[in-house]
Amino acid sequence: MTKQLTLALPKGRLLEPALKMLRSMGLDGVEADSRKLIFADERRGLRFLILKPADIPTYVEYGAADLGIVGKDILLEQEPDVYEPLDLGFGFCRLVVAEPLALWERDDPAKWSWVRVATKYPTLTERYFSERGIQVEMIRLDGSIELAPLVGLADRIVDLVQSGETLRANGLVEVAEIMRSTARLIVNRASLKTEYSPVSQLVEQMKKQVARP
Amino acid sequence: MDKRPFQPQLPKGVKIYLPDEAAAKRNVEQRLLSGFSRWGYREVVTPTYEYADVLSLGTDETLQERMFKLVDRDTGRMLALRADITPQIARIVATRLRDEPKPLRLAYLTNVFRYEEPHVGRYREFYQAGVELVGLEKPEADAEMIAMTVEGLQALGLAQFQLNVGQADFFRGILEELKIERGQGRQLQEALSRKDASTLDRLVKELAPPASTAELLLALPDLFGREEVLERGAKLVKNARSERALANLAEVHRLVRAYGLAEAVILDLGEVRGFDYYSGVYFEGYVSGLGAPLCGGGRYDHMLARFGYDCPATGFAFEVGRALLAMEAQRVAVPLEGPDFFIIDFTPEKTLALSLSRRLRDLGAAVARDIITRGLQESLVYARGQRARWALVIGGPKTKADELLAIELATGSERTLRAGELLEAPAKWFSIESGGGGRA
Repeated sequence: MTKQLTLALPKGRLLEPALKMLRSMGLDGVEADSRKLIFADERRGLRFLILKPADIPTYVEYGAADLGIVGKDILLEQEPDVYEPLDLGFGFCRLVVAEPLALWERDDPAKWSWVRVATKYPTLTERYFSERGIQVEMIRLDGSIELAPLVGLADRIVDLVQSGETLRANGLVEVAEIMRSTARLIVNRASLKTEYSPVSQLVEQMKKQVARP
Repeated sequence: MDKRPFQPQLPKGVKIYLPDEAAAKRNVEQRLLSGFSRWGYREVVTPTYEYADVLSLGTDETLQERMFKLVDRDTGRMLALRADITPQIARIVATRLRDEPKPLRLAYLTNVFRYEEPHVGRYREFYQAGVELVGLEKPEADAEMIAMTVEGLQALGLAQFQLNVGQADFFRGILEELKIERGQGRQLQEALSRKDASTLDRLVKELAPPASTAELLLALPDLFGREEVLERGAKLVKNARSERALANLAEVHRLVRAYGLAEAVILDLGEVRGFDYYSGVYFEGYVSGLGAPLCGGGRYDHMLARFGYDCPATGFAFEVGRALLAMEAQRVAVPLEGPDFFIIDFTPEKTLALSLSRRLRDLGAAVARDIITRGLQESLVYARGQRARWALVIGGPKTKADELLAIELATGSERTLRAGELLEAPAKWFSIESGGGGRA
């Protein structure tokens, strides 16, 4: 008996490129516009879950999903105990420190000793500043981070940028880059061993897609 | 008087086992321990706490940071709750059993304390059942650990399991070959432990080792699978230490195959988790349905030397909490037994109830009595809730003075009989073996 494998896919900006890759592998069954959260490709014995990106590491670590697609930023933030065999290449973005233009004009990052930062990424933010000997007061937010400096909630933000358009639109300037991120394939530790052959086949197929020019 | 309301909170990381859960836990522990004793292992009991510096001798830094510590009022020295039993056993062997004939086969069942975030069936206090085999460096000893672990998984009724088997010295040989500093080695190890091919790729480019070493490093995340892995590994490896490790793993695998267990094993040359602790063959057990390993172990030939006695050793442990979760995930039923008899006596003197329960217990039966005065139906509901097999009703309206009514609770079938009949042929009513400690 082979178990049906479950692949967790992230809602949002990574979903479209992830589905494109799956379709070119001949995997189908997910309707991106639907409100449904669970889909099946019966023929291939695969099940898909559509989840909030930040929840994907948890689903995979606990084995509720065997595999998942998630940004490296979230993996570094959460450090789940999973295998991470493949950089899928798509979904490139950067985690940066940004501040309002007015502050930027008179600011010298080399003189920072204490900063107040709004972010969705407390672990990465804490590590970045503490490695530089800077004390950080963290304002943990869940969305619309760019708003925080405009209303005086924080002086600076740490957030993901793709084109930088959102920063510009909110009068913010990038001061430092913390990391670069792309989408990764993650695999539950037990699944790679107990469902060794179907999981490795799927990973191999994805590898071929990624290697394609 | 203290006016604060009673706040029955539990600290994070501990767990209460209510009767059904405790029975399931005990059942798992007994199945494992009785398996260990069939292989000739004898139980040892170690102290719950010891001096922190002594325990630390056999504990790596990450785990040292996670020990629960307290101060010894007598000496002012730091004490620690055991975070791992293996250093304790290593110490016992080095100081108390070093002159005993080898090998030593020791078993244990114990709680372990670690300051860490509770996750997948593991709390800050958790339970382990395991063994240590001390004084043998031969591959047969490693194979015995693997065979016993598989037997343990089978004894728990689990199916679809895999032991992931690695050899710690294989990667050590590669590190030696690279002649890199510790921090770089650590980065390689971290990337490998996640089978993170892209980071590994970057690190290998930075290190720029000879082409053959680079090829081997990049192949490591994929060097797992069945027996063919040994061949794939042998083609890539160029240093003597890794070659020896591979030959040792091949020999252990040959023995595992002789045990008829090749199907239960996956070889993983790229496995580096637990690398700091182990010195040779080591393994983790996974079952379908549980996302984390539920058992694991391996060879730790250098630990006893830290306690002043250079002696090879290997061992493994099951995590009882995770074993229970795995059984639940695979719907393995754990038998939950109530008493054989539940005696309800409506007479004011209760003479028959008391003498009958004593005599049945002497025969090995488990007997509970209803002490609360209530109607028969209520008593029967309670008896069913206790999972009793038979209710014996004395002094009810349906029976004469020297008679009692026996009701089989599962079926509701009734029969009237004399008390003597029950004692003359006890085997018809309950199984004397399962009575536990019966004097029959």
